[in-house]
Amino acid sequence: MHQFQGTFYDGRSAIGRACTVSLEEDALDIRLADGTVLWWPFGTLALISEEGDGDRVVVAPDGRSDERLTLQGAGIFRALLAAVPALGDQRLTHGYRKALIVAGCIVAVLVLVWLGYPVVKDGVVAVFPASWSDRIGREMVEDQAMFGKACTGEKGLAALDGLARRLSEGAGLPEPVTVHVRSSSEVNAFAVTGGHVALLDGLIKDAKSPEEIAGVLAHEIGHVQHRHPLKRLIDVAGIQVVVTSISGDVGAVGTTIMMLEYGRDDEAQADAAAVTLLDRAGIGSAGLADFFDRMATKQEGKPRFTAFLRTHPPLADRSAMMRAHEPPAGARPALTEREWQDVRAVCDGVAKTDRADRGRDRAS
Amino acid sequence: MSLPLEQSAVAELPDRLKAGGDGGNLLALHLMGLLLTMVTLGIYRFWWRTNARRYLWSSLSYKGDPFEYTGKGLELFLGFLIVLFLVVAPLSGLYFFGYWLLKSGETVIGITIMAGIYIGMFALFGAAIYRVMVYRLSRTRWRGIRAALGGSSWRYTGLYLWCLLLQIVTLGFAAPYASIRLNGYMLNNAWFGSGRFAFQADWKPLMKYYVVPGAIQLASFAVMAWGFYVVHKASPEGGTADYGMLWTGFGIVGVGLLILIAGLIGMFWYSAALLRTLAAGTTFEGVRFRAPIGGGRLCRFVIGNALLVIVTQYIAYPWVQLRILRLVAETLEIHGEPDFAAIAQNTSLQPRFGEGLGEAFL
Repeated sequence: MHQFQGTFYDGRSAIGRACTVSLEEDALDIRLADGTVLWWPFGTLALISEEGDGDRVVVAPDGRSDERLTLQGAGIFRALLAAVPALGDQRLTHGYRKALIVAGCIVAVLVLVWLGYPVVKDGVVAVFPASWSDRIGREMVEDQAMFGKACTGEKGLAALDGLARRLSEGAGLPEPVTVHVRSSSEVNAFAVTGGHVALLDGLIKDAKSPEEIAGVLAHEIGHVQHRHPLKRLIDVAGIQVVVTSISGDVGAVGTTIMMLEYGRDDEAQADAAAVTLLDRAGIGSAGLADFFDRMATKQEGKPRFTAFLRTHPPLADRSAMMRAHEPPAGARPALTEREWQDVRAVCDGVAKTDRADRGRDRAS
Repeated sequence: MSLPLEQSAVAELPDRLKAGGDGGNLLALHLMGLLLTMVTLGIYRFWWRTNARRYLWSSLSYKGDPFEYTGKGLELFLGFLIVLFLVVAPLSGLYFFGYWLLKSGETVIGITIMAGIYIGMFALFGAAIYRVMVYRLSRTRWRGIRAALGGSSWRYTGLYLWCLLLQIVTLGFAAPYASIRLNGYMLNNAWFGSGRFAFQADWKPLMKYYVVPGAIQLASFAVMAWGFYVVHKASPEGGTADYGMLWTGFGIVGVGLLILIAGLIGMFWYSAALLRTLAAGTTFEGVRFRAPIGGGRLCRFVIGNALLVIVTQYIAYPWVQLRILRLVAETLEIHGEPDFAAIAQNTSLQPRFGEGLGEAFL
């Protein structure tokens, strides 16, 4: 059994008494010169002070006692700690260094993620299988009841397909564009993964010219060109990994829909791409500008968010950007009069799912 | 034959405190405290302070036994809350009441209340100094025996206000008298267990250390005032500024600042003399003290500490704290030793909460 020489202070006076201390199984056995034996159970032992390499340690029988025992000798604290591991928790700097190292690691990981995430995202986008991308996009268009039903007017769809091909010709798109029309009366359009672009009937009925439709379509193809849908999907997946790991399961669809709204940078990129595509197709961006202007007029009087808070750049700014642009020489109409009528009738015969009350302007 | 002589020579060798502690550990403690204080919007600072004190107290030992700090973070927190609600809140209310009275034309009562508040603030400042020491000594132990600060906070506060008045009337030249009276009151009421400290010293010999830097300081204020007067004259309102005179004025202010710095450096020699006097005038149950420290050393020490903290942006702060402990250990001589068997446990009442006034007013 370990034995140590120590000094015992009885808490009644400042005089110390030499003692022999042995570490028993569950207590300190303290024997004074006059034959007094003290028994301090490990369970209540209080660490008063330990210094440096642990060559001196002061303990008390419990936290409230005035009694003290000073033990001195090389490695004394280590020996005591081996017998009473719980004493380690009472060390003043217990776990501090460890905690600081952990905090440092967390900060380093966050910085690494922050810096490395865009690189990782680009990598995932590059290797993401086209068939997955296509299937996810198709499901997103077809399974959302809020967008209404599929419109099947063959001539109209063919006209829109032709327009999409005309716009994407020579653009070097990562995926071919497939145009869908859904019967919702909401004035909106969106692009999802796999090159799937959906126009809502509300938008088509609202449009005053085929050039407006062409403009909106070009904007959505711009998203496709920059692979925004897949990038946002990866962001959502990343956020879900974090959210799920923190709070358990969370409604996946809600987050997905919520996150499908693109950020300002994405919109600006898609706008710029749209201008290029419309010029190359010989249509010009005046139609898209008209559409933005009309949206701006509709918005007037009901400013739900300030321009700063909205994810989209202000419509007036976007339309001004379009108009500042020189129209292409010898502009041709986006659609023939016949095609235009076919497009306007594309949802005829499909029962309306009126969602106008939602009134969300997600025109993007 | 020579044995008795040798023994007496050995007995003459002074004892000293021993300072230890590890700067790295203390830094980890401070960083953790800072982190948790930020996370808890400041609440954790009482526990941070408590942990730092526990570390510092136990880094200082006498006769191989460390000092202990037994205070709790909760005691400081409650002390702070009590003062916040019982002193700061009513005082603020009274202040706004006085302000309202002044605004509404009750000038005499308003001014009386406002003056009362300001005098009360100074009184609370003095009381805070004493209450802080009462708490800290009550939470200080050595060999399990408690220290204590007796006396009366009211008496100390009265003494503090009296010394403040003297300082104002004498343009600061009452400093030696004030320091000896205020520190003396504390030392005379300090206890370790059943043993009591006593202090007796004359303030007059300290005057010769104070007069020169004190006069230099006063002169620097006069020079700076003159400089500002010249600046004021050189740029009359609505007129064109006389740039030559303007720069002369700024130059005079600069010279005044240099004189002030010289005076402040000179004060280190006064401070060292004060420390020597305080140590030499103190006894404890037959034990005498000395603190042979010179102004030059104190000056180098304080300026060195300030530079360390500034250059390292507070990273070196834990080492500065340990440097202070080492200076105390190296400087304070303990002549003789008390009869430890005769020093019993201190039985005075201990304050239950601590340092609220200090938190609010110091």
